[in-house]
Amino acid sequence: MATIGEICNREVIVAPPDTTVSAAAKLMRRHHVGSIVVVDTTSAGPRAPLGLVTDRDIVVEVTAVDLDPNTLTVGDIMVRDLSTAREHDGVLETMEIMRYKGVRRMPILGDDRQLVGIVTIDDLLEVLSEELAEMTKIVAREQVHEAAARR
Amino acid sequence: MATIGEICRREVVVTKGNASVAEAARLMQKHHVGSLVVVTGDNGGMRRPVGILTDRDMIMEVMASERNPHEVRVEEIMSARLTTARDTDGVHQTLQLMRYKGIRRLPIVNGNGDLIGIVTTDDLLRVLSYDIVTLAGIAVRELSQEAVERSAHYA
Repeated sequence: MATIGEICNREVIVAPPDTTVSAAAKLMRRHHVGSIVVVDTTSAGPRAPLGLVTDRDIVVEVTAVDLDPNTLTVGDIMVRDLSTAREHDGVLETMEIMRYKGVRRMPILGDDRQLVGIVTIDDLLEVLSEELAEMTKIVAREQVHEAAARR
Repeated sequence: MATIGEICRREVVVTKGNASVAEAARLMQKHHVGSLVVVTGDNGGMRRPVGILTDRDMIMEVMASERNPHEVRVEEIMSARLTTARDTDGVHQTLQLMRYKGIRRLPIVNGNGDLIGIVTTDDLLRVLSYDIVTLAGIAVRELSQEAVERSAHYA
């Protein structure tokens, strides 16, 4: 579990920037996700992330201000200045970046900078809690070994 | 810090069930929150929670169906079966409840059933991580205590 690539979610829902907000909402519902990574699908090469759109972004940027979700696109409302991490980056290192940037989710890139996954604060919490649980086993094992050794 | 009443947030953004989703969205934007507690009653400022509405609910039930947010009422799409906790409930007990129900947000009520706050998984994370940090500090403290006691011995 050393690298972020090992714990990130590899099934990322993506959409090109000209996707309407309405279509994006439908995608979110169909796939039960709260965010979509906006990617460049025009170039033949690997899909590069251009931005991120969350359910909250749609509510705040579109629903709350009476804009038309059928004309506005994800390209119009997405967060552009995206922080990303590489799949070989360490888990703790990635956590530090997320903390520094104040982001709850971050796209993960492969070697040729293409999108390979996404990691959220929930994923990190799950991993850290597993590690903590493992620590309690160290104590339990130690007691078993000591009992066996001292017999 | 034994009860959930001591750690919950007291400022809750609320809405009535008959408000439109558009109005609710505006409230979320204005107050920078991702959820609203839906309440009834207004007897001298007391409010009874009847549901929760999240930004996700809005996407799933309104935006993805191309319904007009001005024509849909909050009560039509909010989560109906509401779980709440008492301000006197313990933190540990509340954690178990949220885990069992799979819920991230929990309105807190007083003995009269009136809304007094809300607790989220973020709040619990903060509280529990503080406890872990405190636990880790024991070993450090023990060492420094020992250094003080042992140096006094050999003085």
